[in-house]
This record gives sequence, C-alpha cells and structure tokens, in this order.
Amino acid sequence: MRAAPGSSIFARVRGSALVVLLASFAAAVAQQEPPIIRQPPLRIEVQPGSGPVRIGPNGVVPQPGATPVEPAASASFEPAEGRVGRPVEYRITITGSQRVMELPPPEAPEGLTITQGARSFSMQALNGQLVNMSTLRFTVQAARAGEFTIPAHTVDVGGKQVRVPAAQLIVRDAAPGEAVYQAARAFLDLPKRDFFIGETIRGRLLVPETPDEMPQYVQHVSKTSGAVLFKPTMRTRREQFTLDGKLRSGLVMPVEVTPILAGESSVNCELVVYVARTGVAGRQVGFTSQSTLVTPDVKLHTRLVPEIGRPAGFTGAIGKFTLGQPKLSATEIEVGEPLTLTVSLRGEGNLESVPPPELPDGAGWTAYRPTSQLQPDEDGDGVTKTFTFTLVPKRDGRKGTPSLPFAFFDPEKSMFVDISIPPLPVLVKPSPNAAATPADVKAEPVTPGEPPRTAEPALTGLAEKPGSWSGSPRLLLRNFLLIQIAPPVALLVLWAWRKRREHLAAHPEILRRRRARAACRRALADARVAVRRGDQAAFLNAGIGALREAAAPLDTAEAGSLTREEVLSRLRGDEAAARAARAVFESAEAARYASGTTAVPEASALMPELERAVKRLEVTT
Amino acid sequence: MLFACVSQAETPDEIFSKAGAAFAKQEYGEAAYGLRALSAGNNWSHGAQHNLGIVEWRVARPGPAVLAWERAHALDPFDRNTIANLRFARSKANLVEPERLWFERYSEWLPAPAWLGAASLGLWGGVLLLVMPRLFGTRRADWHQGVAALLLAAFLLTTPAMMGLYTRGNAGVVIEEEASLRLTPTTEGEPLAKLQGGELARIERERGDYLYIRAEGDRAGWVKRAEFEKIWP
Repeated sequence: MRAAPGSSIFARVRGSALVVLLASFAAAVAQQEPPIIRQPPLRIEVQPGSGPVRIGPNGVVPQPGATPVEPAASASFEPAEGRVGRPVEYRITITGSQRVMELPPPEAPEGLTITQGARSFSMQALNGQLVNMSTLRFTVQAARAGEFTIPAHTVDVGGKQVRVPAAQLIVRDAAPGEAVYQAARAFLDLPKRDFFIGETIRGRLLVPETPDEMPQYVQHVSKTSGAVLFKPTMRTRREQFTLDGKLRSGLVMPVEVTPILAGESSVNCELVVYVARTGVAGRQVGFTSQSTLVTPDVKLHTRLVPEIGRPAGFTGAIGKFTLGQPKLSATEIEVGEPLTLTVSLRGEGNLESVPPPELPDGAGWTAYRPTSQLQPDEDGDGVTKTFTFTLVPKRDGRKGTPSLPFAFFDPEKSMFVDISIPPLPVLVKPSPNAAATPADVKAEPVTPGEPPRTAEPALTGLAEKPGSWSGSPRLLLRNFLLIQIAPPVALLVLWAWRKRREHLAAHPEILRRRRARAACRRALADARVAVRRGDQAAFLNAGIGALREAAAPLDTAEAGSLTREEVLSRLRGDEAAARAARAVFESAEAARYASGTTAVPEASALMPELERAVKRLEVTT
Repeated sequence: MLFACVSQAETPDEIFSKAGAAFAKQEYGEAAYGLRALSAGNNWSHGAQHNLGIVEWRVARPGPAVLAWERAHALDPFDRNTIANLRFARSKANLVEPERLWFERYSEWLPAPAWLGAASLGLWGGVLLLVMPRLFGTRRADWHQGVAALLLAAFLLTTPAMMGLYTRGNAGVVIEEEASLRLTPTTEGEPLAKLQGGELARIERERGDYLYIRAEGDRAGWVKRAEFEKIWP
C-alpha cells in the first residue's frame, strides 16, 4: 500500500519532530542526572525559610536557573600575609552550574591549623552566562613564622575532578609593639568579703570582648573546683562592666555560689563559649568557634554563722530580707476553727532553703505544719517566699495570734537581724458545738511552776571615756625591772659618799694638801697675769705666795706665816730650785726695802724659775 | 569612710570619739577599724579596749571580743561592765570559765601598775628606812623600824601578785573560730581538737609560726600563731 504524497511529507516532518523532542528530552534527562561523588556523607545545614533543598552527592545542589558550565576553582589566602597566632582566611571559590555546599579541608602543611569556616554563594554573569559561584572559607592559624603553601589538589564537583590551584601564605612574627593575639578569657566575679556556710552568694561570670575574639554566647558552665554549690542561670546578657578598674564590654552571666565548707577555698569554673575571631583586617574570620575557658581561681574565706548571739528565730536564713504585712484569713473565729496566717518574705539570699519559723509551744494555739511557696519577683531580681500557717485556737477570748520568732543573718554586716512576725489581733469566740466549761479550761494540764528566774547576762553599754592611755602591761613589767636598778645604785652611791667622808675625816692632810695646791695654782696664775701686765710688785707677791702655799702642806702652820728659810729648807735637795726660790724672795725684799739702786731681775726672767721651784715643792710635799 | 585613713595627726582621744560616733550609727565595721588601729598602735586604755570588745562582738567575732575585754579587765579590774561582758560572752558562746592559779587571781585584784608600784615602794622604802640613818650617821629611830617593817611586809604581800603578773604574760585568747589544735607544728599536723574563738589558753612553747598552747581541760597542742593572741603582747 502506498501513501499519499501529502500525507507522507506530513508524517515525515511529524516523525522528525518527535525524534528531536525525544532526543532533547533524553539529553535533558541525561544532564539532570546527579553525578557520582565518592565522598564521605556530608552535613548540610538548612536555614529556616529557605524552602526545600534538593541535595546531591558531595553537597552539590543543582541550580535550575544556572547555565551548564564546566566547574572551575580558585584558591587564595586573605590576607596573603599573616601574623603568628592570628587567624587568616583560606578561600576556595568554585564556579559552575551547581552550588558546592561543603568541601573537606585541604591537607595542612606543618605549622598550620585549618578549620572549616563559613561559605557563601552568588550568581554571577560570566561571559554572558549565569553561573553559580560558591565560596568556601577556612580559618587558618599559623604556629610559626614562614612561608606556607597549600599545594594544588583536586576536588570532586558533581562527578568532575576540579583542580584547585596552590595558594601561598607568608606568616611573620608580630612586629615590635604589635599587640599579641588576645584570646577571650572568663572571670568569676564575687563580692570581696568573708562568706558564710549556706549563704547564697550572687556573682557573675564575665567574658569580656578582646580585640581578637568576641564572645557570642555561653553554651555550658560547670564548676571545676571549690567547696561550693554552683548554680549558673544561663541567662547571658551583653553589657558593660568594670573589670580590674577598666570598663569592658562582653557577656555577663549571673551565677549563684553557696559555700558548703568553712575555711579557705579556691573556686573556678569552666565555660564552653562560642567566639567570633577577628582577622587582621578587623572583621570576623570564619564561623564562630567553640572555646573552653577556665576562670582564674577565686579565693573564698568561709566562716560558720556564729553560734553566739544567735536568736531563737534563726532558722538558717542568710541574706537581706524584709517581711511583708502578715495577713489573717479572719478577724473573728470560733474555738477549734482554723485560722490562716500568711506571711511573705522577700529579699536576696538563700530564701529557697529557708524553713518557716516555728510556733513556740504553749502559745494557746495549735499550729499545723506551715506550707511555703516560692515565687520569683516580676522584676526578676528577687524572690518572695510565702509561708502559710494554719492555727487553731484552743480557748476563746480576745487574743492575738502568737508571735513567730524569725531572724536572718546579714552576711555583709556579720550580724543577726530580728524580723519576728508580730501578733495580730483576732477575736476567738466560744464554739457553740463544744460544751466548753470553766471545768474544761481547768482540765488543761497545769504547767509546773517556773523555776526561779535568773537574770540573763547581757552586753553592757560603751565606755564614754577612754581612761588613761598606756601600753601593754608587758611593757610596764619590762620597764619595772629596769627601774629596779635605780634604788640599789642610789644606795651604793650613798654608801660610797659616806665612806669617803669617813676617810677624809681620818686623814685631814689630804684636804690640806688639796687646798694648798689649789691656792698655789691660783697664786701662780696671778703671777703669770702680773708678768703679762709687767707689774713687778704683784708678781713678787704672787710668787712668794705660791712658794709658801706649795710648801705649806708639810707644815701645820698657815702658809702666810712661813719664812724664807722655812721654804728654802724644803728645797735642799734641788739646788737650782732653791736658787730660783731664793731669787724670788731676795727680789721681793730688794723691791720692798732697797733704796732703788739695787737691781731687781725682771719678772719674766724669774717666772720660769718660780714655776720650777713650785713644782719641786709640790713633788716633795 | 570614717576611718579610711587614720592619720598620725589624730590623737587617741579623737579616734576613740569617732569610733563611738560610728557605733551609734551602727557602723560597727568602722568603729572596729578605729579601735583596732588604736590597740595595734599600743595605745591602750580601759575604755578603748572595753568598747573594742563590744564592737567585735557586734561584728560576730567572739575571739577578738573576749581578747579586748580581757585586756580591759587587766587595765581596770574594778570595772563591773567589763566583768559582766566577759561573763556574757562566756555564757553566750558556751566557753569554759578558765581556772586560774591562785596567785593569778590574786594579781587581778589590782591593776598591774599598782602592784608594781607597791612592790617597789615596799622593798626599797623598807631598805632605805633601815639603811639611811646609818648612812647619814643619825640614830635609827623606832618609827624608822616600824615603817620599814610595814613596807617590807607590803612587799612580801605583793610577791604572789608579781608571780601572777609574770605567768599571766603567757596567757592568750583563741581569736579564730574552730582553730585546730595540732599534734605537730606543721600545716599537715594531725588535728587533735578544735578550739572555740574566745577560749583562754597558756603558751608553753613557740616554734616558727606555731605556738604550743594548753587550754582548759589540759587540751594541749600546736596552733597557728595567727589564730592565737597574747592578752599582753
């Protein structure tokens, strides 16, 4: 059977079109088939709102709008020159029709540490075609100076081997004066004072920003040492604070520390913090990375809450608390009817663990075990604990609720503060159901007679006047022993004086000789003065006086009554001295009795001889 | 801060007054600071030590409080307030009333200066009265001998007190709460017992930073020097 010519052309054209369509379809299907990637399984993060993502092997995501192009890769360091210890960025940029979500880090040369960083994608027109550009970033840190090269290597992109070229990094030591890399550090900030066992200390964990690392958030906190209970709030805020006297900015996490042992203790804790690193260019390098920070030790001196002065109402509350207005469920009740007393306690401290105050025995009320409820304040700074007491009156009459002793210990002032709950007025009526009679009242057990009261010792007031100031009595004892030396010394001196007096009384010549020598020295001095003045007569008088005084001790007679011969007789053994003495005497007589024709030697010539004679006389006497 | 800087220019009387004012304002820490500075500077007076004891008690330091009152009592044994405070502290802190030797109790009858003065006067006055007439060559009168006998008798009466004053010089007070009494004078020394702040004890030996003390009930051992302070340093 032959076909019509018109119909065969139509059928041929239709058949060709079908073949082309089928071929196109086959080609399209072949193009969209995912390439085979031999890589370990990858983790792909899907951002919220990004919609469904079709992920192929090796993290490659086909892009429907992109033009099919051969993938190509480039690599570089940013910046190309770094410093030891400071992070730089290593980038691999891959262009192609697909997005590359992740690549394994290249092999790091010795001295370099490479960690996975951020990635970014963009569509760019390249030679008139839209292509995908995937930039994969790695954080690189050098441990030493030198030149480092990440060699060329191939990566598998959509089943195609793409060559990543080599990249070179020059790392230098920090220049003189250049700041070293400042990693983030954490500090435990506690009040500077003594603490008490059981006290809830409000402190802060501070993670200040540094020029190189900016803390982002705290993931985990744990105590590493210290005899304390440690409770972080995990409510981190970014704020300014003062650290070591400097205003810093960073993360602040409130913590609660409760000492459990007395004595010295060192507390520190470990934080897992995510930090963003800042590169040389001053912008963030790579992903935020996880850092484990350990706070420096904080010394705590913990004491026991003092036993002394502890009031009866102290149940272990340590802090600063205020008592709210107590409330009664009714102001008039019947005997046996329960009454509810509600008291709220607010403040800072270990309120959570504070048991309610106890009702004292024998108060005429039956009290049931109180309940307590803890509620944080709206402002979040404090806590309110509400105690609810259920009281049942035993007897009727106008009464007040029993006073509930309550006290807390103020750790800052180291003192107990009494905030006892005062009695509240309430009228208790007799119960119509209970046949309460005076006999019933009498039937109550009679308390035994109280023992005779003894006065409790009490602290007295302050002294108004200081009294006389002195030192420690020990100093007084020491000085006392020193002072005791004085009386025997005085007695010894008196005894010596007495002995001397007795000795002189027994030997009067000692005094006589002493007096004569003194008179002799005086006369000689007068003679010298006369010589200087040129007074011949005064010289001779003084000279004769000196000779007589010098000779007198050997004689009981007065010095003035000694004659020339008596004086000269003392100088028999020394002819020169006798001659000198004679010359003085003769000169004096000549001056006194001669008519003026007799020559009298000059006083200055006689003076040495006089002195010699006097010395000789003193020796002999 | 009232006592942020206790200047040298301030007299002890001024510091005492300021401490009193701080106490009235319930600034016990400030009052304690000033009075402690006085005591540490060897400016002792009965009133200052008495008030220091009260302030230390207020700031919950029973050991230093008892120490200050013991010092005040030594300076003025007649003050009933100080005696009452010591009794109060021992009652509240459940401290054992220390047993003192008879001559120590005797020495507490008078202040130390009075005993020392009496001893000096008695001994040397009696000796001088006996010796002076002989030294001055005068006749020893009957009254000389009578007064000398009285003075020497007075001296004999002071000798037990002098011994008491001497032995009290080794007494001290535990100033830290729960001070460990150790077997050896080392940090690792085995703790034998705990002493309460305010307990009295006597120093028997010293070695380095440790003192060998004997407390009431013959509890003896080594304590750190910082945990114990002599009443008369």
